[in-house]
Amino acid sequence: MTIASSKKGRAIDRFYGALSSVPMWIFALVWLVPTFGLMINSFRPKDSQRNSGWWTLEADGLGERLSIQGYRDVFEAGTTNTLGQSLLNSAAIALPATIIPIAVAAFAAYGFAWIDFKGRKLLFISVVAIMAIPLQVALIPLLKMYVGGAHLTLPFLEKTVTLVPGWGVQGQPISVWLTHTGFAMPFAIFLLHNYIVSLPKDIFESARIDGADHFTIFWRLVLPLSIPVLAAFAIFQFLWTWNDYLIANTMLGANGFEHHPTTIFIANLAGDFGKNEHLLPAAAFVQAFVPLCVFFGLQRFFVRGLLAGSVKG
Amino acid sequence: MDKVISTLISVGIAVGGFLALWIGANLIFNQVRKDFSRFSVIVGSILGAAFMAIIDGNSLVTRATATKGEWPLKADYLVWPVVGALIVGGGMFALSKVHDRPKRFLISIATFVGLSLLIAFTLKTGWRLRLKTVPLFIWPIALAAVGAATNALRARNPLHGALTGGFIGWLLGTFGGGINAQNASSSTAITETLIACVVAGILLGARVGMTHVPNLVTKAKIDDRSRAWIFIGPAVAFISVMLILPTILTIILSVKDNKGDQYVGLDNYRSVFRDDDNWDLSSLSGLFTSSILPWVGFFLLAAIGLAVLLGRETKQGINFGGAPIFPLIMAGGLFSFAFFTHARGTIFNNLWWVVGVTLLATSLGLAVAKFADGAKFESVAKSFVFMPMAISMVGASIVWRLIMYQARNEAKPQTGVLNAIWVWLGDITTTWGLGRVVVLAIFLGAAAALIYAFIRALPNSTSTAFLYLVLTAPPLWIALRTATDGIGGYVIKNNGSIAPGPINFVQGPPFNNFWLMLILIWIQTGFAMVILSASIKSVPDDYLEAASMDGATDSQKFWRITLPQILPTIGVVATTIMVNVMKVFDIVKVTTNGQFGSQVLANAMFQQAFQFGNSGTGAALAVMLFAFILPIMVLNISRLTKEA
Repeated sequence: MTIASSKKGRAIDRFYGALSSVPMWIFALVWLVPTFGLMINSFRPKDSQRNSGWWTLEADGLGERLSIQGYRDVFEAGTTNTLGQSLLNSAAIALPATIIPIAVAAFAAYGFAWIDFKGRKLLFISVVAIMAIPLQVALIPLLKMYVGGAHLTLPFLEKTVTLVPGWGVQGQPISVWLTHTGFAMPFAIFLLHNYIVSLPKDIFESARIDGADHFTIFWRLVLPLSIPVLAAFAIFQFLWTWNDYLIANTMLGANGFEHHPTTIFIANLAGDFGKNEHLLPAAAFVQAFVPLCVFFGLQRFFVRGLLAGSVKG
Repeated sequence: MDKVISTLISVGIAVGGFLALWIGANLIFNQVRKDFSRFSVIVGSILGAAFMAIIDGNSLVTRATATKGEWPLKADYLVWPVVGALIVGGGMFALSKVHDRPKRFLISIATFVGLSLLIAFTLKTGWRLRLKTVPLFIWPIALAAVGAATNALRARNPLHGALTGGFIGWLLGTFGGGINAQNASSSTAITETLIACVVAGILLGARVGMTHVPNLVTKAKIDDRSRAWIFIGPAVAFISVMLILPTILTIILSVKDNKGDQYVGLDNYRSVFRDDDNWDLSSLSGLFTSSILPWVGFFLLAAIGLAVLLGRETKQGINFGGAPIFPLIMAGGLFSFAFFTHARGTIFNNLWWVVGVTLLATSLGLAVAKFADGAKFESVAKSFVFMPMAISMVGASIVWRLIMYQARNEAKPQTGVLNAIWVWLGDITTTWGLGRVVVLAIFLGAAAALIYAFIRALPNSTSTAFLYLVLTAPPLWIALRTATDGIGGYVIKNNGSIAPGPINFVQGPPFNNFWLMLILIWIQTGFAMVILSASIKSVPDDYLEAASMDGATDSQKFWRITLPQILPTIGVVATTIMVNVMKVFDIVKVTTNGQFGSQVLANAMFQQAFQFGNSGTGAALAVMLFAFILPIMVLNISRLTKEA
């Protein structure tokens, strides 16, 4: 084999290599069309949006008709709430609903992984099994519980037992945090447990011999070592809570107008019989901005979280 | 901004308070191993103070000073808790130091009798007792027997159980027996109250006095067990209150009427199944005249033919494992499509979603993962496909409704991408011109390429070759349509003229269901791709290299080595997507709100429960959703626990 022919062979290989990635690129670009079109339309004025497709840019006279007016208008739109306010509301829901479950689940994950107690395995399997419960099943009683607590009327005795007192938090963000925390729990415990249990046993034994107690081991050893999985779960949970519509709409939809997050805001904007349709692209873009930043900035952690426990229920 | 700050403050207080409690509990139980006496004092004081605070708080005992004031501002509210803390804490401290059994017994009894005497003498007159003989004997004896039997079964000292049971029984028999309301200040009432309290103190004291000062092993056990509950307790509490309890309550609600008052048995479920909106097979006969059915038959026959061919090749009779898979999947997919367009109603819609989204998202994800593997700028292209995962379903629905699915009056230019393409296709293929020729050439070219592949593959493998031949049918058929009637969005008017025919993607049943599914497919394909891509990369290189040595082609390597290796992961992806699809809500809610024949279970449940106020029907729908998801989740979870 001569040098020339192997060079030629490499060139052909490279050509076929490039050709083989064509389907992938076609697919990727097709997948991008909706988002790209939305972005273009968010900069087009009302009339252009209504009368021509976003791909007919040249008909608008490109430079002169593109403007950020839509973004300006959308921050002033809305009947019960403004977009700016709802962005703050989304943050006020998503941040606590991410932080609280992480703390509670990290304790439990350590407990299940490294504290020896009776019935540990059974309890852990039960916690994981609870992932099977879909959100919808718990919503009706949860809403009632936030209003008036949970009571059980005992049969025969005719006595009412209060299982949970009425917290009176209906229509408040705290009802959304609590719901998110409860529903994140099984998945979070599962994800963190799998990581924490795989930490080398030696470090725990040597820490024990040095007289460290469970609290010190957790605080000084396990937490710092678990940063990657905590980050993965945090991103997961943040995207989930920021983008959530069902829980927020159930808990705040009817009686928490001033607490509406962005998802409810844009859904309401879309429901105004097309009156504000020209503002939707800008609004949807603003809503998606935060999760997209988190996503592109921390994609590595997010993918790791997905791979570690692809079972979120 | 004010609200964010106030929210952050309240979050800070909640999280900080919780953390402080949690760390405090940890620090206390750290003392079990370090300094047991200190642990005894702290826990004894806390228990004593809490007990007295509860008694005082419910106005069972009189106060030293009778001034009124708001808790905890007035110091006299602290008197009783401090006394309780001193007595119990002191007793516990002494117990932790003394090893001699009779002395422990005396100390313990003295502590609790002292406490009970204090309570007996300060008990408010309204709470003085009137002892009744029957409960006084029956309760302690019965519970002592139960306690002794339980402990005997657990191979523990039965006397311990008997004392604990006797103590609880005594409390029930005396304080549960009745308050002496009439003669509260009589000497009998005072004596009987005194007896009740002192005997209770003796019983509890005797029980506590029978314990030992723990040795190292016992200390470790106490530490681990209590620590386990400190660590796991908060999570278990959240799960119980937010998940388990509501689930039980929903099941109870589902057998009650829509106000949640009257028990109605399975009426809610019956009405759900009887409602035509949920379950309607009246137009199923349309399935047999469906234009899709011939294609189902074609692919089915092709699959059988290929299976026979492959069976001859591999000498296995009839073999469906290989080339016949494609036409089989096509036939199955098309048949389910035809079936679900004629089986209408919420339940069938949900099933359609599950079948359609799971099938398409998984296979598209697999295709991209395969195409992207090792390609240039792989990660960039993959993040394009993955990006919809970060967008909310509400946002995605709006994007698709506006950008892709917008349908306008036929006379106006279309602003939605899909309708623009569709109408444009109809425009260029109904009149002879360059456009029609190009479209014709594309599909004929595709058919020609497949025939070329057929000829190339024929010497190697007849079954693969004939698969290519089977696949020429769809492009040939489209080419035929292009040449005769034209394809795309057009309608022929009464006067014979041709007008644009845009599709009402969102509001035109029954196919709007499919177009709404496409939104979820757009989101879920990225998920499938990420997981499957990682799985493809984890297939050992040795296998693939060995296959290359033996002269396997790329596609052979994929179908024979990679695919079988990643089959379990495909199962995981498919089941995960299935569960997500089953619960689909946002997309339907935002685009159609369940109108135009696009209702799904989750949206029906939401409407019934929260908009129409029918909690019974809503709960029944939720339980049905649970029942549909359960088998898939059981599968998933059994796999997970096996791995763990």
